[in-house]
Formats: sequence, structure tokens, C-alpha cells
Amino acid sequence: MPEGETRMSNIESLRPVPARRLSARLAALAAAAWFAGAVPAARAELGGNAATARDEAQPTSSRLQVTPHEAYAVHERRAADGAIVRQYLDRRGFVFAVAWRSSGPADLAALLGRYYPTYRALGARRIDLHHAALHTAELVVETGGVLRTFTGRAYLPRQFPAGVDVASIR
Amino acid sequence: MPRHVHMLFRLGLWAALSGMVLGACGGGSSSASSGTGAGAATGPNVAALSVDSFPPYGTDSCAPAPGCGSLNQLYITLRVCPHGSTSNCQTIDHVAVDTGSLGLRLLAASLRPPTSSFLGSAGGLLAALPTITTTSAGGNGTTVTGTLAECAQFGGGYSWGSIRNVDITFVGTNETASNVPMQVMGDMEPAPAACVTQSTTQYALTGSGTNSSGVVTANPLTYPYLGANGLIGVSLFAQDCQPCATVAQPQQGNNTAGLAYVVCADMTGNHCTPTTVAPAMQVVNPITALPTDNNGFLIRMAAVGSDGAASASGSMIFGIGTQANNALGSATRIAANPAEEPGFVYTTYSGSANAYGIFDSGSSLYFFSDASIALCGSSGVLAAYYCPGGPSAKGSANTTLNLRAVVNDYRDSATPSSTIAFSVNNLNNFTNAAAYAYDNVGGPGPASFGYFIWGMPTFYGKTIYFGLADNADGYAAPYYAF
Repeated sequence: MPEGETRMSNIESLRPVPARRLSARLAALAAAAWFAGAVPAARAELGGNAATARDEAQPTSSRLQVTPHEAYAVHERRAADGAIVRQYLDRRGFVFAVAWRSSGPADLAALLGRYYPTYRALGARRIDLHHAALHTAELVVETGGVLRTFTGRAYLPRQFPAGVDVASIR
Repeated sequence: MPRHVHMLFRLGLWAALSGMVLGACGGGSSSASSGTGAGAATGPNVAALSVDSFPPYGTDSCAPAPGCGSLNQLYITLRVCPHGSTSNCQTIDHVAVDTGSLGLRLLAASLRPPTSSFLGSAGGLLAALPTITTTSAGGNGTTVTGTLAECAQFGGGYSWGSIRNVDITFVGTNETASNVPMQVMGDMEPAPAACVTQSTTQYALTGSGTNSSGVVTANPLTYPYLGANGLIGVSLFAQDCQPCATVAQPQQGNNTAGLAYVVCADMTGNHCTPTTVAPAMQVVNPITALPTDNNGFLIRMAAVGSDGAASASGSMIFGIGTQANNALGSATRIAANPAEEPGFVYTTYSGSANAYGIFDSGSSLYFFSDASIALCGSSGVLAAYYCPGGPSAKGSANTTLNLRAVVNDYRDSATPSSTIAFSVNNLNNFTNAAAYAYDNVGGPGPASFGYFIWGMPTFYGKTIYFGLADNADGYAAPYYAF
């Protein structure tokens, strides 16, 4: 996958926490397996990586649905009670965006992972009774809560794969 | 100074410029034009509505205030009495009408006699309202006997405080809801940690003022940040937490920090435990507690011009098909989801069917996803607003978008449907420095899962019907009609 390898190295250079210990060969294997949906579930939280771990932020008793796109894939888990978490992974398995919907307030600590302290430190601005948002060059978090349905998305603007834009996170 | 900065003042988005905000929100009156258009309704079932600049309370300044003269916040006036009493009643103006939440929630600060302290003095209506003493049930093993309270999460903050029963009269009408459980906001500070940490906005337990980024660190749903004396949630349902009748602290998915009704050992949030609450004791939609005209209501707002208006007037008309002035007539009914995603309808926009849409007077913008519309900035508060044509564009034809979308029922069946035309204007085009009512402002919001909120801009120049769930007129589902 020469094209995939090129893309990965570009992204890796932008990552705040490098994963350089992965050889290009391993990364290519992981990417290939990930596109086939065979890799164990990635971390749901923003900035997580398929190579690193378990699933602490996912709805319990949920099933995974993988939707591949050219430069990224969407891993969606839908719990029996209706809560949904979508994670957006680049070809190396890095989670550059998450989106969620549930009938209660989202567990932002689990969804935002290591970006949660940044979110809390900067604070989200209230837009109105039902909406708040944080927009920085590094991190965007947009939330809404109406009628006991809570919806949101968070993404890392500088970590988007080439050719992928914000409109994909929905 | 760029035009969009002027717009920020009008939006109450003081940001780092809070020192200059005072001039924008200090004036309760303005010589700028008011909205005109739809005729006002009259009758004993009609209450007056307004969108205007909400003056600061008491002697406090309103900066730094997200709710200072709130953009597109819809207000009503209520007379609130202790249940069964005519003593200690209080007329409370500027209660925000919110079709996106449920129940009456009034600021403790607005229920006390005003003084130079924003918390007011002792006495007044608040002192005359008994709290509810109960014993927790169905909680986490700890049983507490004490005061019934609630943490209600909104997308823009949380509402925390005790539950008390009141009689509510909509001023100007003969409509009185008797013995209605409501929430007092801010009478049991500090809020429980679980209530705070799951809020989208709060990040410090006892924050106040703003941080170095100009972000308000206090919970926005407190005085004076709320920009209202309280909220009256009049969504399509009766109770604010149906699952709470059988489950303490209902959860969904992985949302383990859930907190709804609790019993607290003292008048703080420090020693509280979750509890189940019978439907009759929950915060209820006051409309459903009216003796008649209780199957729904109409909101009719005057139109505003494309440059906004300092204020806009309107009417809340109680009942649907119960009086000569509230007939459904030729309005199209759009059934709303009665269960899993309550109150939502489909909105088809630009080829996409969006499943999560409501008519929400508590949302200040049209919230919808359209990547082809430029944002007003790439970071900071401006990034939450659409600026067609670009962040610095103004005046040219492409800075005003005339759009349309088709609304249909929650099952996404094609009929009946209704097409709504709406506009989104670049903030730079606005010139009216004292305007608070706009029918042409939008933003992306969370922009996921087909989120499409018909916010307050939708309401101007229209009559929108809200048919409540389990209504008595034979229509199976809750509905909107227009």
C-alpha cells in the first residue's frame, strides 16, 4: 500500500503523541486489517488509536458497524438503549473525530480522552439554552441538548486526513 | 471596528470585550424599530409574548453576560403563588418560553425581594414556598431523607435546585395551573459534583465571572447569566423525566454520570442521593396542568425585518380547537416522535433527510449542517455562526441566503409535509446596534446525526401550533402544525 504509507507518514508528523515505534510494515498491516473490519475495537475517545487499546468509552452491550471511506473509516456503536457513538479513524487507526447522541448528557471525559482537560480548561461558550461550543485551532467541540436528546461532535482540525473535511463528521 | 464586532454586542457575546458590553445591554428601552406583522390575538386564553433586551436585575451590571439582552430569547409574564394561597404572590416578567425543554424553573434570585445583593433579601415568595421532604428510593444503596431536588441538564448549562409546588397564572389570561411542581434554580448551592461535571459548559465548581479566554465560568443557567428570571418549558410532553418514575438516575449507553432527581440531607448539593419520583411529583409541563385549553398551544409572532428589531411581540394562545381563536383551520399537522426520540420530526434540506429536528423557541439560531456556508470565523465565538459569502463579506448578493426545507413526520413518510422558507444572513450585513430579534441567523450547532433545529428565527411572522402528547382531540401523536 504505497499510497497508504505515504498518507500515514504525513499524518504521523502532525500527531501530538507519535507512534513511531510502529514500523511501516506493521502500520500497513494494521491499516489493511482495519479496512477489513478485523482489528479489535479502537478506543472511542478523541486521539485514541486502534493500536493501543480497549474500549472504555463505548456504550455497553453494543455492536460495531464499520463504514469504510477512501481516507478514513467510521466505527459506529449503537447500544440496545439507543445511544450512539461514532468514531472517525484515519488509515492508521487514529481517532481524529467523534460524534455522539444519547438521551442523557454525554460522558465527555470518556469521549474526549486526553483532550478533556483542554476542553475543561478553555471552557465551552454557551450559544443559547440548548447549545454550547468550543472552537480552537487544535480542538473543536460542539454540543446540543434538547428534549432529553443530547447530540455532539468533537474533532481535531489539524488531524484530518488529506481530502477529508468537517462536513464528513455528522 | 469590523461590523461583526457590533453584531457580537447585539448577540450578548461580550467575549473579551466585556467592558464595552454595558452600553449594548444596559438600556432596557430603545428607539429602534419594533417588529410588526402578524396581528395580535385577543381573548381570555391569550398571553403576551416578547423578544427584547432583558434589563439587568437590581443594581448589578449585566456584563459579562451570555444572557444579557439575549438574542432571540422569547419571554412571557407569570403570576406565581404558593399553592392554595393568595399571599406572597409575585408577578414575574421575562420568563423564557422554551419549547425545547419541560417545566417551570425560576431563579431563586428572582423570587426574593430585590436588594443591592443579587441574591436578594430573605422573605418574599421563595420563603413562602415549602420544599418537599421525602425519602430516597431506588438509589445507590444510600437512603436519605431530606429535600427533593433536581439536576436538569440543558445543552447550554444545568438547572439545579429544589422542587416546590406553586399555582401559576399566565398574566392577562384566565388560565391558572394549580399545584404545579416547579424547580427553584440556585437555592441549594453548591450543586452536586455529578451535576456539574456532566455539564457541557461548566468546568469549575464555584466559578464566576470569566476566564482568560472570556468564557463565562459560572453555570449559564444562573443569575445573572440566564438572561431571564426563569424558564417555562412547554415541549410536547407532560413530565420532564418519564424514566425517573421507575429508575433513579436513568442512564443511557455509557453515560454513567447521570443525575436527575435526588434527595438531599440539607439545603445544599453536598449530601444528595438519586431517587425515583412518581410522575405526579415531577416537574410538569404547566400547560398540561391547566383545567381547560390544555391540549396544546399556539405561538404567534410578529415579523421582523431583515436587519433585525429591538423587540418583537407575539401571543401564546392556549388550547387547540377549544376556542374560537385557536382552531387548527387549514394548518398542516406534522406528527412528532412520541417515544424514543421525543418531539423530533424529519427535515429534508439540500437533499438530506435530517431526523433530529424540532421547533425550539429556546434555540437562538437555525442550527443545521451545510458545509457550503462559510462560518464567521475559524476559532472562537464567531465559529459558531454562519456568515454566507465569508467572514468579512457584506452587502453582496451571496451574503444573504434564501433557503428552504421540507418538514415531515417522524416516520419520514412523505405526506403530509410542509415547506418552510428561511434566510441566513451574514452578520456583517446587520446595522441595527440595538436589535435582539432576528429571523435570519444560523449556525452549524453539533451538526451530526441529522440535527436540524428550527430555532426562534423560525417563529417570526408565523403561527406555530404545538399539539401535546396524549391530547384530548383524538390525534394520536404529539404534533407541530403551521
